[in-house]
Amino acid sequence: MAADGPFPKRLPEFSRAVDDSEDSDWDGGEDQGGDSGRLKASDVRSCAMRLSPAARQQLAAGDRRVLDCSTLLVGVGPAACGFLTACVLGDDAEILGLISCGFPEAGLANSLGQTALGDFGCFLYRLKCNPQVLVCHAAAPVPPADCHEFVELLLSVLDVESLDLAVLGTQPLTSFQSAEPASSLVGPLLRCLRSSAMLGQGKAAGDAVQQLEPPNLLTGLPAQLLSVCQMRRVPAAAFVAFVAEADCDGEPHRLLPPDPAAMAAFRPALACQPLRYCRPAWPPNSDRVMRLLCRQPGANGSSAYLYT
Amino acid sequence: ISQKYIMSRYDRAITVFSPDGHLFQVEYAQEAVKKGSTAVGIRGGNCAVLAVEKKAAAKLQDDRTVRKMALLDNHVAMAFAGLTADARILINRARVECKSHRLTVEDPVTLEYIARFVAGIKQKYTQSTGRRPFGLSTLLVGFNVDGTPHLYCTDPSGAYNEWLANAVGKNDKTVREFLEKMYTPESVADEVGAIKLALRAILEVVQSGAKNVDLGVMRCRDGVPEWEILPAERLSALMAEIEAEREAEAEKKRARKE
Repeated sequence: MAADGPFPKRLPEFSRAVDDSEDSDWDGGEDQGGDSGRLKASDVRSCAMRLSPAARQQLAAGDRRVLDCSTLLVGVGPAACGFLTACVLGDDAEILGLISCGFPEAGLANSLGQTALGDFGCFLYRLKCNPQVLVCHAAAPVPPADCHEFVELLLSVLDVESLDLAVLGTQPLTSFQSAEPASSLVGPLLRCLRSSAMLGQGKAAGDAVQQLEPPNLLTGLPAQLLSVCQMRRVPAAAFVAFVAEADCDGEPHRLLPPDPAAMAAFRPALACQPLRYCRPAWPPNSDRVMRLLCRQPGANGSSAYLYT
Repeated sequence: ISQKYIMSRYDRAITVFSPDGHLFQVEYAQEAVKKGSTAVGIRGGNCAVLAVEKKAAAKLQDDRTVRKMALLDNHVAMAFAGLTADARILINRARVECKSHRLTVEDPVTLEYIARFVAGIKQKYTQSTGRRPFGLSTLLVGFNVDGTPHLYCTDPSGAYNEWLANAVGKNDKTVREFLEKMYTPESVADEVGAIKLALRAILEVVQSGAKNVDLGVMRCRDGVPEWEILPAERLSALMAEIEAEREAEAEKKRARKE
């Protein structure tokens, strides 16, 4: 868990509420959650990455041991991931790897196939029609203490010198601060923060998404990603959608299907760098985007009668 | 131990506390409530009002079967937000309890009694293996035998409290903040004031239009409780009045600034 660079080393966390000496009394039955035993403190890791055989081959083949990638798109939370799945990935992606937080590496066995909502992996995909584009789905929430390690792990397999990065995330509308009263705010709102490298290269010229106004702050994994990109001079843009609280990322929201309105909030980002040129004949028109979003699981009304 | 790891061990079984005191299934149920559309309850001086966001029915669906408010007894009505099927079960059980109480005790239930009954069922489901909590919050309005109106709110954990005004469902925070600003006993002293406040509150988060809102009033005439769901024409007229009042207030503010 040692960190290179300016960020201080993070100390491991242990709960004094969990007493390792009581292992023998615990039956580990189904009613107790189904686990067969506690981990030792030495087994506890923060983040671990598992790559597919194809990705490992590519890493071994290159001189610099990095994956081929010029554009990295990161979705944080179910709405952002749903949007990227609908509008960027489609059916045209292969799984390159998985990053998991809070489990030891042994827990990642056979995890590349476990893509259900309830599982904890953050998957890394490659677009087949444009292999230079990688998409990372951080649908499972990354604890704040693990954000730095997550980012370091993700960027360790990429060539940051030739990388453009976009991160999409959500924050509650109620946290948006503006001169207007909160009750008059109509969500969702989309705002953007860019690294100076992106601004300096003129890549943000003419972009349709408004800058995030002070005193609003970017938080969580998007903030960590943008900070690291700022330090390493990587052109990066963070698109944050302020949506109803129920559609934000984080437990337990991730286990409910994302709302199409929350996903649709990211539409203007399709016309901005670096999403603009991710796929041929891009960006799609508005109608097509909405059709794609409505096809997402749970978005088309299977929950329409579930909740009243 | 990271939060993620803690939750993976403690969020699957309802009967297990996490080391930091969470019952994750109950918290998840509270999130399911936020998936439901907004419901507002107001306790007036001489009435109790429920206003709910009306969901658009599908083209081929009979919209009489899509209801967010239900009468439990002729003096108790309930609005809810959350899982539709769970609401149906709770409503049926509450109705049976109301009738059973009348037959056994020869008195109608008090609002506190029926709120405690509904909350008690919900709490039982948070402490049983093989079950899950009810994913809904309810607003119960009505009159006690002594002629006083009451409003109670229950949530998936089985907690219940009496309120002067409250909201459940999506955007409940926004509506509650509005009510905290605008509610005064004088403004809801009469029926029209209470109805208008409920409408104003729900229109904070719902598009204006009688097709988007249902409003019910529980009143007591000569000691006999009466439940009325306002017809669409009356709702439209009230919404037009509210819009006119808003414009007049905005005009006054502009004039004061100048």
